[in-house]
Amino acid sequence: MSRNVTLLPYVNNCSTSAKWPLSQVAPTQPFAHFHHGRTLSRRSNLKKPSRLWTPIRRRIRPKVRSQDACRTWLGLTSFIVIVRFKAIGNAPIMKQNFYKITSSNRFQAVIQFLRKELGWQASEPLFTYINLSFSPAPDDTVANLFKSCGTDGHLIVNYSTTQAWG
Amino acid sequence: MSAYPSTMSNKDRNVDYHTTLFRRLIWEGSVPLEIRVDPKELPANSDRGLECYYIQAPRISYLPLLVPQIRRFLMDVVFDEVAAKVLKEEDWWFESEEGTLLKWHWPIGLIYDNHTISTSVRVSSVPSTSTAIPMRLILHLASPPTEKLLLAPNVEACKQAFMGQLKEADFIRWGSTKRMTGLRKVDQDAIWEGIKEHNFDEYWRVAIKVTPTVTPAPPQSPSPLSSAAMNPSADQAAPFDRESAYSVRSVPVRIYLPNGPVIQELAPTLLEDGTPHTLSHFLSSYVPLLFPPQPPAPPPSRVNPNPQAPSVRQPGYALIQGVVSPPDAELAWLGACLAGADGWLNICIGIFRN
Repeated sequence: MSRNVTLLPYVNNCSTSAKWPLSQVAPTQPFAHFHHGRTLSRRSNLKKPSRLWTPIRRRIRPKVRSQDACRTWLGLTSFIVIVRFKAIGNAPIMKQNFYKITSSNRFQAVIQFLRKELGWQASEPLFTYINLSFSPAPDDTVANLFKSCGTDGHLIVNYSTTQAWG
Repeated sequence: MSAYPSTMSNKDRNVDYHTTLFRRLIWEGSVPLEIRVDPKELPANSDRGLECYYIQAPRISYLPLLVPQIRRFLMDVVFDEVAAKVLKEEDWWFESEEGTLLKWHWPIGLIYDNHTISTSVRVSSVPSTSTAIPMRLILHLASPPTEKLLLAPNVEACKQAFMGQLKEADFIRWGSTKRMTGLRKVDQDAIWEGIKEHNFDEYWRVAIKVTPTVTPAPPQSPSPLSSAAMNPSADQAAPFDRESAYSVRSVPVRIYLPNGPVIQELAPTLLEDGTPHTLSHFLSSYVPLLFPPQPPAPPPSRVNPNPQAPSVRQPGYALIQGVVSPPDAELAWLGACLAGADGWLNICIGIFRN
């Protein structure tokens, strides 16, 4: 009962997932999957296929900062966050450093993923930071971190083998 | 308590009496805990009649900081020498009576309030701020579920998590962590020592450099609560202060809902029309079913300068530092005065049941 009371309000706001910066999503990702209506209507207006992406991006970008973004909590209306990994100091560099992650994940999942990608053992130290400044709590959700600390549509995660900022 | 404002003033910033009073109250806030070793894990030859330990723990403290004194008690009274040698603190972990893992890096006050609101869902109870019921913790002595606890159970890991939270709060307030990183190493350590030793003056000597000051909201905004009641020293219009609680980008705030979900949203201190962002406005934006938006009040007139809107029954209540908070409290003020030692304003949402 109480759970329903708590969770109901934002079920209807699923459309928010269309407002994230699609420009960064890999080209293999079917665009229309995220953004049905607008893509189709745009396509009919534009003649050159190569120009298809640019105007849509311009229309979507400002919406990321709109208030609607703030409504996607609880993971119910989870969206995709693009995590960008950046090595600091002697940490090994990753070949691929952009990854998509569902926003309802905890930051712990990002840490575990990073360790797996780097082939890092549990005993080896690895420190993770957001925006070169702080280590988030591992139980913070990716959604929360992105909303308060996202940069240009990414969540920038720095990683280091030594402690970098206190 | 009247002696504190004078010791609290710093050469850059003067902290008025009321701000210090509230910070002091938060600092001295404590919660009753009843800690019981899991009976299945009690070593042989333990004194079973005494395995329960009661403590009034500071709200701003952390579980790893309590472990030494719990250990001392158990060693002295409950366990025999053989058992005492075998037991390792690294394997200890806490659970609530209902079986919720208790996080090492959550302030104890938050753990307690979170327990209160979870109980409010199951049991019909009206929040009471006068009688506190001890929260029952179960102490396990072996096989910690490390992957769920997320952090190693030692003081050092707890300190790192605490500093991380302080910096995250700093980032959310100002858009950078330069206030925190600008602190000398001694000062950063002093903040943590203040928590560990429960030393208000040591903590605030440094924390004052990263916490916004409580100056009134910009003059164009009528704010009956903050300027009159909470800032008696600020009658004359002070120049708008960059360090003011009202000039931060967002208040570091988390909303805890019963049984788990945590909402963290940007919480600007002023609304678009320049009026201070109040708790009720914030909650009705993000938890509208529990805090239905109040219908607008009739426009103020000279006869009735503060017209009352017709009230709507709210199924939820907001606990901040264990206190049911008035809906017209301003986020900026709450963030500067009622935040925990880690800089975060934790709002726990309970539910009234009929």
